[in-house]
Amino acid sequence: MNSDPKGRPAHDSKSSVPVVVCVIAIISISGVFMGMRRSEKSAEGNLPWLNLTGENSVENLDVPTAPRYAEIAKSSWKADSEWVNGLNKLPQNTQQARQQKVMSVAERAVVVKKRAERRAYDGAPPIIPHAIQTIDVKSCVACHSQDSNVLLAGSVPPKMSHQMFANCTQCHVPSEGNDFLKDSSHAGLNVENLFTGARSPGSGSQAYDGAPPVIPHRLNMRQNCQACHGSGMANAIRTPHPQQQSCLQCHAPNALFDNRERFQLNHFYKGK
Amino acid sequence: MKTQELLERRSFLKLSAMAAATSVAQAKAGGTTTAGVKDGAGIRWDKAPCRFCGTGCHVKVGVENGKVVAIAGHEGAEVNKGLLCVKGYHVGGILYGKDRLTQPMLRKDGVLQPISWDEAITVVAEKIYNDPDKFGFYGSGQWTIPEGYAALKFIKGGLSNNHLEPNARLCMASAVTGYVSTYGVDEPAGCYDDLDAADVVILWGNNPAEMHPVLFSRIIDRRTRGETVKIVDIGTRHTRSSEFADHVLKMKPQSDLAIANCIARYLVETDRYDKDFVSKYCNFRIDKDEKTRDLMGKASSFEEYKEMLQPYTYEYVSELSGIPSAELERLVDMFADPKLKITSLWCMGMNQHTRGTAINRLVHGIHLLSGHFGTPGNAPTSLTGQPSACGTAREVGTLCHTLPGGRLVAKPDDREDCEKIWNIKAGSVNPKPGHHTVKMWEKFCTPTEEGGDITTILVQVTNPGHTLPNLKKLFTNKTGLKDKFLIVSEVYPTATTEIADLVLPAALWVEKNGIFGNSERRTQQWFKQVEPPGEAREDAWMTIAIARKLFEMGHPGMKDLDGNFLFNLKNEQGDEVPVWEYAHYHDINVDRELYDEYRQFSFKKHKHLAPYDVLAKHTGLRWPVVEGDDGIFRETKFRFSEFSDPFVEKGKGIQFYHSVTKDDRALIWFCPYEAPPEVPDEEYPFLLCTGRVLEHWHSGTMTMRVPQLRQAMPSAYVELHPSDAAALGLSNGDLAKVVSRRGEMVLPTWINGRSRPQEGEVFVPFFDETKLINQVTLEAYCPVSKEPDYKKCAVSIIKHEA
Repeated sequence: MNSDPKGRPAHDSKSSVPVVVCVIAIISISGVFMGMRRSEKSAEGNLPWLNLTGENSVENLDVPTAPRYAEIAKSSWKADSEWVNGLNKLPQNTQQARQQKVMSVAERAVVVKKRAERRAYDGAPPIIPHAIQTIDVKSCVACHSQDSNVLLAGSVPPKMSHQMFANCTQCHVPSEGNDFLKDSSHAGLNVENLFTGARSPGSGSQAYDGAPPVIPHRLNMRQNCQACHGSGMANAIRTPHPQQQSCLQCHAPNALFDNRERFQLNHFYKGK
Repeated sequence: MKTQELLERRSFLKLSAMAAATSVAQAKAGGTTTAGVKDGAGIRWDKAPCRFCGTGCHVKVGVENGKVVAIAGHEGAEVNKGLLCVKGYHVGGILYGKDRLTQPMLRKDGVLQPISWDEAITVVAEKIYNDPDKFGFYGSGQWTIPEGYAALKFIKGGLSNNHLEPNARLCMASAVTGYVSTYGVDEPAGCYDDLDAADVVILWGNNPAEMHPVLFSRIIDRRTRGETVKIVDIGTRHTRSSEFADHVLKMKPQSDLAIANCIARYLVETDRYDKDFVSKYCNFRIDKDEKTRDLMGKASSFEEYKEMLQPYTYEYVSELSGIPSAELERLVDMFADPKLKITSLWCMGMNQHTRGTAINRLVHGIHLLSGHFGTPGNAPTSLTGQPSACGTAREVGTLCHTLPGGRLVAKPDDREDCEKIWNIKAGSVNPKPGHHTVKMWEKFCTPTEEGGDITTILVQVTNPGHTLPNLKKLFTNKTGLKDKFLIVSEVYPTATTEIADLVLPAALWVEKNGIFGNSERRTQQWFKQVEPPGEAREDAWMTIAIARKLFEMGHPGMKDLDGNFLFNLKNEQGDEVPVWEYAHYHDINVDRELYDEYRQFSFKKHKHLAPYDVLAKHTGLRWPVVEGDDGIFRETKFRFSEFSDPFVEKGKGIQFYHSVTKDDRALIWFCPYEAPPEVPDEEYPFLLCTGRVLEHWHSGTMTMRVPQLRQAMPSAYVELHPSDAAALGLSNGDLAKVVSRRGEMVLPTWINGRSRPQEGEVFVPFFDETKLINQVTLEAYCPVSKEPDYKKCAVSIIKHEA
């Protein structure tokens, strides 16, 4: 992702001209994203874009370079063959800039509904609600890595709760994109499915008002609590105390979600 | 008290909002609306291997109110450690497609009409009774081990007929002939643990990032721990696996033979092969003569081997393969380095190959020659595409020439073993192999009076009307042949049921007990967890019920020497249970009875299987599973290696104890490069490769019915190199007609999508039943393994104006 595309026209000089061009490019690109959604949130999100300073921005930018017109006909350039995604180089936002207000019950219901729609059952890997680069996963990391701090159209892309696993598309597949494959004249078999997935119970129980709620789901693949419950996440439940790092100290997993099967598997039987 | 009330009220508000939201979501996803909010207490969890590929991941199946409602990766399973791929996470959905087949149907006046099970079983039994020798039984690597064993015992023991084949012939046969002609016995010596130790993993025409994602992640995730593992991708397309590879070697189709020979040539020429390993553990082999291509060839010598490798210079192979000499040199250097641990992986790229046996032998050969064998991380390992290609097709031996446990119908001893264990008349098992898959279907589609000596085929757990090559010749030509009768046991309507005369509704996956065997010799058991829909029933029950009907009709083969029924299953009191009556099928665990009987066959070739009750307590065990003096059954990770395999004699180091040459040595083969069966010409200038995609499994019967998977990949497509597309005037979404000498298919074009073929090559996935690419493919097959080549046939591409 960080490497320059091959065959990219070289800059003639290292003068300030490219920098200015870049700034204009950023503003144009930002404008596109900003224009996608106008809301209170995006207005908040606007501020840092205009306050670009230092290494946060200009020098680190890597935006796609347009080819010369004469080169457009060349097959090597065609069909985005050397397209570079520079989203990870968009200006960084600060945690503070995207502090969100506490949601109302109705707002939360919308978020929870959206969450459920993206999962076949509670615990299923969510589908990707947007088109993706289909051959590699580098573009996933650009926005969804734990240290990415990108604000897209006023929303924070969900952070990976299991960044140690590198092959994103192994489990997450898009529901959007490749529209030509969905064209009714092309589309393959389409049969209704009656599978009804288990749904999230919504909230963990509390022993008494003020007691730390128990965790109403299993922890496998969700070891990074901050990914969903960290501050600034577009989720129903955000921790009010992100400075406390050891979540399981106070929040116990609910044994009802233990999925051990009827036999205690005996690993003592393993061979050499 | 007041606090308590407040809390409840607040929780209630939250929960009602939640419930409303999720009901809407469920309705939208096509589910039934439920009012209440569930908690985890209602879900009952049990283990099962995943239904799809040969990786053999273990899942946990969550069942509530008699339905599968959730899936989780099994954290305790060694194969997948809690991880799954997108198919695995959605495997529960395969049970609930709206068009599940729920009752037997017989074609009357051209239309499938419901009949009773009793009638259906009678129809099948009568067809077989009238002409038992013209009956073929066609199954797959998705048969559970007990299902495959029941089918084998029924047809080979009961009917003295060897026309039994699995679709694994189309997928693993070349791997089998490769292993057998190299080591004298089938299946990999290594296992998945090699992937944790290897320094270099070579992908031979393999795209595990999509086809075996959990194994691929097991390799690449090591990098996040700071370990170095190099991936060398030798293939014809740039794929998702190439994206993670350190070295991408794009080869021209079929040149893998030359590449392997080139590596061997320079290891020998530069004197950097493992002399100690070769002198202790290897013999040399070549084909009998220029023309003969058989399983065992003839003995050769190192000098002859060296001589035959001479033509495979860097210059020649570079020209043939399109891979730069420097890249080939790097491969040689890797194999020449005894410190590097090298694992080779392959699947259909090497197996679906008209020289499939040869390329399998050659890859084993360079591992043996360089001594990259027998220690963790050093292994040539073939991956399987079906969950029990190894367990059922290869170990049970549901092929036209095999008997259980690595036995052959051609060997008198092997036949005698079966007749003894089955307690049937000596001479019952027919010594002549039956028809292999391509021949069986060709005979079925040929009029009987013109020599088409197969008239009835019973298909279980596979979809030949979609997956056979050259479909017109091998499948649809059946239409209109009056005396041909096709019986299909299926879970959904498919291209096969489309022209079937009798359709039997089958139980699927956790709707029945089962046992699968994965790519690394791991046998995995599960219990039935939900009821099958309507009148759908187990395939093993169907086989037993048909056998019983024949018994009642007086077929002599269905009686053992004591006059008992061939499947004489007893309860704990020793009384026979009439399992052929479905009401009594579950009185005992039929799987357990069949498996423990079959298990006796596993000892001769040292493929010792664990007893059923031991398997039930594990997420699979890798055979040979040997009982120690302490009564504990222990699995074997590295076969033929003294440090791991209990059958290797002390002090031997490595012992190939089923050696072809009976001297504990493996065979290093020389096989020449030979051109593909169809070479592009002016009329058909492109080479067509077919294959799978991540989201769909095989013919898509199951996965196309799961909304999440279908949405991600809703249609087949034809993938071209951008410059070929430009020359043809095709861009994304344009329709292109793929035409071969056998048929044509119109597909949307996709450029720079999931993968990138080289110039002159096109790729089409085969999952889409509305676009059957196998009408275009070629049925030419490897002369030794009889496995067809789905990866190379000449086609032309024409822009199609709709």
